[in-house]
Amino acid sequence: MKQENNIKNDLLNLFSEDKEFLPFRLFNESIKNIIKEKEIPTSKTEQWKNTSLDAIFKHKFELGKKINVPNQFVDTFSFYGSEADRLVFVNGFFIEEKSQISQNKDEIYIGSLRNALQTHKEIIAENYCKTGLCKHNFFTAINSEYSQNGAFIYIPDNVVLENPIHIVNFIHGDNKKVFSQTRNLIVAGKNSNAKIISSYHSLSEDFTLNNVATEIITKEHSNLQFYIFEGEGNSANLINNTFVNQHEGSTFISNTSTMCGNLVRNEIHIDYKGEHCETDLQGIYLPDKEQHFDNFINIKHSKPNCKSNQIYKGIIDNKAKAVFTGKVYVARDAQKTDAVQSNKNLLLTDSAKVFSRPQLEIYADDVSCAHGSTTGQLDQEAIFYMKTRGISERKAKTLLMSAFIGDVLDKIEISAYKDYVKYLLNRRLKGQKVEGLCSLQICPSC
Amino acid sequence: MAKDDKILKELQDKEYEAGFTTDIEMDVFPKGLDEDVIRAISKKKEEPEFMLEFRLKAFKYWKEQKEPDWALLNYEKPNFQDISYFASPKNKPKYNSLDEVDPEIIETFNKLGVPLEEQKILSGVAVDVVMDSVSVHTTFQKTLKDLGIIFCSISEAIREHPDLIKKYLATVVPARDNFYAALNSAVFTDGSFAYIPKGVRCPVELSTYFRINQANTGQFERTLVIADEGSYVSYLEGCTAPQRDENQLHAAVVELIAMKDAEIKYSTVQNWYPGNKDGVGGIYNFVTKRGICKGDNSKISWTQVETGSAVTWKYPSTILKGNNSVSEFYSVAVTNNHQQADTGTKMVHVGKNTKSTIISKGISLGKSNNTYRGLVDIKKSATNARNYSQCDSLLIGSECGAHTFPYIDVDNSTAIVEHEATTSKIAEDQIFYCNQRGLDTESAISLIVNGFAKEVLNKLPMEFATEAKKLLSLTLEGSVG
Repeated sequence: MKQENNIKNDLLNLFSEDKEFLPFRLFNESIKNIIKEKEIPTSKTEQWKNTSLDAIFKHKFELGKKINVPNQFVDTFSFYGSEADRLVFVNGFFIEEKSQISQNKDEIYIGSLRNALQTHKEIIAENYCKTGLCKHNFFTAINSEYSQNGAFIYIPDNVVLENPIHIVNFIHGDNKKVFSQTRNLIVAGKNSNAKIISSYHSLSEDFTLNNVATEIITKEHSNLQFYIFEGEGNSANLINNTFVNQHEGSTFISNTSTMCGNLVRNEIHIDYKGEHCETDLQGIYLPDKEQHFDNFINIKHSKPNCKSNQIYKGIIDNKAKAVFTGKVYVARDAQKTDAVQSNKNLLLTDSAKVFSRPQLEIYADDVSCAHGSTTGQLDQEAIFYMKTRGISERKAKTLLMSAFIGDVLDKIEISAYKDYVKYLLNRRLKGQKVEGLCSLQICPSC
Repeated sequence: MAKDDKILKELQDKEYEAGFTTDIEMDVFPKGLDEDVIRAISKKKEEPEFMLEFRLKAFKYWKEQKEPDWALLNYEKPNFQDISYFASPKNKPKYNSLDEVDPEIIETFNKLGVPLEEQKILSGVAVDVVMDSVSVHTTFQKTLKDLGIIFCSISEAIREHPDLIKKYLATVVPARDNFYAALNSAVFTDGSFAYIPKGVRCPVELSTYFRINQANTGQFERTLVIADEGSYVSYLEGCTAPQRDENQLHAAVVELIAMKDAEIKYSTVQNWYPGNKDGVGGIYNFVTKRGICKGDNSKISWTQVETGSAVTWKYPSTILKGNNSVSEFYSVAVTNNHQQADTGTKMVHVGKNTKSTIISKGISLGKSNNTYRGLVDIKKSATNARNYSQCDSLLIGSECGAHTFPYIDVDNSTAIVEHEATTSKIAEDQIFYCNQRGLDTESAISLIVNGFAKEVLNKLPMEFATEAKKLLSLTLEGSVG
């Protein structure tokens, strides 16, 4: 206990008062108390049972600094090409000169939260800290209080964005162990339609911890697609919390690809504020070596007639660990809820480990809920069949693995992004070097 | 719709039919728990020294423990100092025939529909009757004795077969396993013991009927079943309890040990007093049941029908240690009114080529909550392990809850683990179809629920299946059809 307090104090000491954090306490003053109350999760915390942070907090961090990023890196990760609007962040600082915003017309806002405070203060005040994120846990609380900056995207009512928006998040240790935070807010107005990619990369091989929190509000009948691409370095750690509030008739689709990182914890929380919403959460994770990827999903069906779907698939290699917790909560009066959950895992070695917890908590009777979880290995018969047709064993395995993951990737609706993820995946499965993705060069069992 | 509501209401209002109290003089310890009480229990039971040590050690550990609170249950924590830890019928001479048994006991069982003599003659079931804590009557002792089978109360086993007890007791569920297992280890008063020797196939179904009888006596049963190499036994456990308003605590421990090529089939029908329709009273059922497939090719199967208890906290588990060992778990849990059940199983795969199957059916009515919580843990050594789990929940009425919390941990790439769960209410098209064929809605619901649970009920031994179906109908059909 004492040790945990020390870790907590060390972290809090990073945010000494002279630093310029986003002035969000203007909107919400109680967060300091929450930080005081909440503890850093330990293995005794049920929701963190299989994900231990002990190894991370053995290191002493300092706060990330604003560092400019060379052009070639930005270009490497701009996989959508020149058409996408691009917001570039390094260690949670907005790099305006590398960002590229073309769709900012009428009322649309694509930019940094800090800048938006000048022009869109009311909209921010209306939506900030309204999803339950701020009070969720220690990490979301410190993010709410001590973030430097983050993306703010506001799509006004009835606006359909043609091109996707890409938020590029870099973490750069600069030979130091760095802790950084980014705070994003996305508001999709009534009947609007947009696609957003949020990607995470490392610019150095330093030991880093990135604490990201994103709040998303989808207003009535809006349609938002949110793609998360995680490819930080081998010693980079990422805690990524996303809270979504969906209003009547809105559709939210997310697709998370976790390719690399030391420890990655993704949390997606969905809450319905109106009826007839649809949610589709997809995800792939490919942990290798001693990586640890954890996906935590909590869908709260507090309103009737909503539909949610989760599909998460993972290939676990080497000594890696994967955790999936998918919770569906159906409140008493949330009748006609339709919730489906599916988690499929492929273990490539005997040292790989998977923890799967698909959970249903249902208090309404007129619902249709189902979940499924499977864990297994590659089908030997299928491999044999392909071998008899002259396909090498290695190629057969790669084919089977990409087919296994393929149906999740096929759901991606931005074709350039889909091609990029597929390209990386195939290189990864073939054991080829993936430029800039992370330093993982070979996939030993391929 | 109005008719449906009426049916549902009738169903929920149904009083507990097996609720009545038997008046037999009892020898009861004063309330409270400390080392002296444990010493007194041990002395009263004429136990050897090692048992007392075992109990005291468990008690010491229990004092250091906190009551678990991770289950999705909401109840008033029992006051462990407000419970009497020993109760036994005062007149306990050894009976030679049924005539000598206190007629009231016979009457109790007659009310329950399990008359001893009928069972003796018709079903060939040997019944070790546990009236509260001390064994009163044991039948078919002779048939079993000829085969070398030991089937007696655990206190008798402690006196007569201390070697076996010393060797096997608390090897599957150690005293330090959990809060309630520790409590049970410290204060258990009686229970059953069965030992099936090598190569023997037990010809009858061993059966114990438990009844909690004296007000304010928690019951702490201890069951130990050992199936030696190549043997087979089917063990039945059934519970009913009289109706009363105070919450009663039941913290049993069941241990099964299956040696090489042995098979144990353990069936439970649990119908303890669930409290009245406002949720007052009812039994707290905090049970630790665990079996170990110790030898190769061994098999343990759990079948349970849970209809009673106000609060249930129960996870019959199997450790599949022997290579090629197999375990099955079949469960039907029905909760009504304010009942809460957090139940499921654990399958820990250690040996190679181990297989487990989990079929769990939960039915929630009224304001009840029914949770499946299960763990499938494939250890690194469990090459080619296989698990299939299926959990279905049926919701009847709009105020109940059904929850599924499976935990799946896989540490071996050759394992194949599958889990499926569905939650739904009785489909209106199914009822409509039955109506169309001339069945009224009442019979339709009954038919659908029975069909829903059939997969599990079919796994029960013949003798038990009848009782299980009767219990289901008590909670469901009786008022529906």
